[in-house]
Amino acid sequence: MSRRPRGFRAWILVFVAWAAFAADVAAQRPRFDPGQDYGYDLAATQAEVTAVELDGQGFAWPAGADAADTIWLELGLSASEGPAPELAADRGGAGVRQVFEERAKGRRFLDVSPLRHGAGGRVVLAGRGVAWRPGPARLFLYRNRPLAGRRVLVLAPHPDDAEIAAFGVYRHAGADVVTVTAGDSGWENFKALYPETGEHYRIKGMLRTWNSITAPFYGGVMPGQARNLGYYNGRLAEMRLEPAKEFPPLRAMLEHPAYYRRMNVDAALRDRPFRPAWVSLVDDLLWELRRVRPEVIVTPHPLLDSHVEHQLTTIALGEALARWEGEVELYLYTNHGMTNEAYPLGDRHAMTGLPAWPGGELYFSRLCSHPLTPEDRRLKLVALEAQHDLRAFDLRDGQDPLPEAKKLSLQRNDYYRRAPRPVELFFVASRADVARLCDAWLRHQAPR
Amino acid sequence: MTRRTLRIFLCCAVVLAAALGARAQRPRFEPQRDYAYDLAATDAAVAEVVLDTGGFAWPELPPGDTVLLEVTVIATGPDAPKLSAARGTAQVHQVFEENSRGRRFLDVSPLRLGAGGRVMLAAEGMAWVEGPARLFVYRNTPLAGRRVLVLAPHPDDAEIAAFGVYRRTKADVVTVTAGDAGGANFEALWSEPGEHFRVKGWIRTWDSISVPFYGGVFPGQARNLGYYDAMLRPMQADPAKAFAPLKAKLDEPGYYRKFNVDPALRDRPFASTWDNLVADLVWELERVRPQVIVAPHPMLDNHADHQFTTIALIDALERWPGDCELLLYTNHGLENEAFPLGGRDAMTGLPAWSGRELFFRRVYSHALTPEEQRLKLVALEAMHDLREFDLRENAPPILTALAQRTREQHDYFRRGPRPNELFFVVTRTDAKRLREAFLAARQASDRQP
Repeated sequence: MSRRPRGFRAWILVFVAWAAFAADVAAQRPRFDPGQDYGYDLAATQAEVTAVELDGQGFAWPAGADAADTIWLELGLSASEGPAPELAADRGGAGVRQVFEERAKGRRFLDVSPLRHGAGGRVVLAGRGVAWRPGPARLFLYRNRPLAGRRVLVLAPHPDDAEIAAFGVYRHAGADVVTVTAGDSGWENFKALYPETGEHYRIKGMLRTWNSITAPFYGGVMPGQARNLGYYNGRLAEMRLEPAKEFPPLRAMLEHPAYYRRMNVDAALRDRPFRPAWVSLVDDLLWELRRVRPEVIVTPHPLLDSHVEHQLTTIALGEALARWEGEVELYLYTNHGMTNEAYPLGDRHAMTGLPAWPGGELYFSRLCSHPLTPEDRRLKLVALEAQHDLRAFDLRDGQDPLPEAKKLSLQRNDYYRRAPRPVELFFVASRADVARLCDAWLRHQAPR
Repeated sequence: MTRRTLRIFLCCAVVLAAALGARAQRPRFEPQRDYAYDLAATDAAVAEVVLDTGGFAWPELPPGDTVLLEVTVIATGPDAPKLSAARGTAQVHQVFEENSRGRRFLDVSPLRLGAGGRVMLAAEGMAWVEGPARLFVYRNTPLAGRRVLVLAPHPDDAEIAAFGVYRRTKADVVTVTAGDAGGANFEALWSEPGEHFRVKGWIRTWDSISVPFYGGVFPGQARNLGYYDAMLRPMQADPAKAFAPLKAKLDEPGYYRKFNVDPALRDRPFASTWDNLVADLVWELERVRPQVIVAPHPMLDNHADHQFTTIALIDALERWPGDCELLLYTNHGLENEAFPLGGRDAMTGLPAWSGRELFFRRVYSHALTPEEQRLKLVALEAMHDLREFDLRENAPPILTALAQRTREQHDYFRRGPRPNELFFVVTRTDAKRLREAFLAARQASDRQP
């Protein structure tokens, strides 16, 4: 009598987990076929291209490459076996590792930027479960302006996105960190304490808003310099379609629309009137641009990041930029790889690499692999663990803090694995690039 | 050594350490004794009741906020005895020591809000002695509208003791030390001890400044003086001498203080001396002008940093004339570290006590709403020293066995978020006598081999 229901429950759990997994996969639309080439055309960017010759052991490191900050090796790969084909490159004391898709076969890019700190004229390659095609290959060398001393604005769609994408950048540059939404949606992390839905999501947004204001401290950014605009998670898409209309929170029940904005330590933003409408969001971003006068803006890449609110954060920024004169470069990141949510692949010591991309214009001028020191990476882990949406809320009362579907998702998509890497990767775009990028994004939307 | 044998070895080491630790917690309360509180000598109104087999008649009580029932408890089984009381829809329960036999105090304050003339008692694993008993009723000045200063020896003590109080009163929350000692929570990331404890103190300093937000207190109003964990007692013994951190390696002594959001404290010069600590507390008293100060009870709380936080406060009060009351708490019950007993829905009760005078006039049982208890749990979980720092590596964190052992008895997720927060109310004058008695007892015990 007691046995059968337990087995039944287990099967239900398996089914729920499978359904969540399947939905997750289905939502990630354009799947990348690992037998395909990566579609990046780096020769069309502002790269200095250097031909190298790959032999069975590696290649000769060209003189002069050390002057670049970001260096990519384009090569043909063919994976033989195993779930995580891995390529390592070593040049006299400096080494990198990068992991590729299971059954990868085709053109790939290995981030060898750290090798510029190595010594000697020879790079030794070693594959595990993967072979490279010997013969002519290309190195792409980028020179970016150092971030130190420049005014940097990091834009995050949700609390934790700034940390995932750009903790190292804001720690080095002392950036302003502005988060757009309260993160008041998603899964029910705090259900054990708040079973009522509207209340649960109000609290969840409150906790995550506070995370977005206080966690940048671990990178030296004090609250006040870290701010949250207090828009609602899950509403940006509708807001853009009806720009003047106000939308209530998706799930949270609030006493006041400005509930989240009022948690800011920065008095100017706290007291700034709030309307949950697209036009207000664009105005707020313009207001931030005028305050911060950024020379660099860090924000998601709307074609590479699959989360619609990540895309729309940059689209809103594009509208604000059209009304602001300042000279600025954009550093575009990918927190939810469009064709593979598990990006970056491999463990946290492996290089970030480029996100899988089958082809099509991406509107960037350069790549920037921003290096993190071991200390940066430890602190980045501390900042990630400080996020209520990334750690398990375990009250040690015998209740499992993570539902089965979440556990399954963590096996592939855990940000503790994906984020604290040796580098943070950005696609550098000019103002003009971004205007074209936003147009392209809008054209992609039109048929739907 | 395989991972499995390593784990077994670790478990044994941990059990041994726990046993030694338990012995180090000096006067263990003997459960066959009476609790030594003499509440009749305090500012309580006393009401006589008669306990029968089902409970007692709720008498007409003078106005008050805190009501304690003095009752003799006899444990009847191996489990921790539990006593429940209900009046209309209001109910409480409280848990006592295993093998209890003697006089105890049941906090029945919430029953004031019940209806009807009868209190139903129900016991599990125990019996109560029938016959005459006493209710002690305290009338405290309501906290609402008063300026409150909450003093915490370490990051998390303010939350454990007084989250409900600071949420209700929008208090200033001042933490004395950075919490830069104790266990090696972040060993997986920082293996060098000096560096590890520097980072630990830095992380916990930020906890003490940022977590009171969950109770509506913004950083700035939550501050950290940046003294070093575990050093207060030696500092008091040599008041002009500057002490180094116990374990942390710092670039400069004022390292932790610089992380304050409050610019006045951030820029205030730092020296790690007792004299400077007392001067800082005088400075805080002058800024906050508190009418109520919440701090540890130096006799009931076992932790030396807790005791000497309050001694420093009383030193500072000598140089500040303001009219104020002290609300004293117990985060590490001297005679039983596991206090408060039972699950987190049980009343806090009085800490086990077999000693002498405690210098309080009243007891104050501060009620928390269910929402406050939830937020308090959120605030406790936000404290790095109370949650597990789990990086989801494939192996469990190395301290898991210790954490598991500790949580059985000492988990603050169990001890912290209760229906009430309990304070002993002490006047300025009594505080001075309390300090003299505490220091005299210290000296006497120091003289003993």
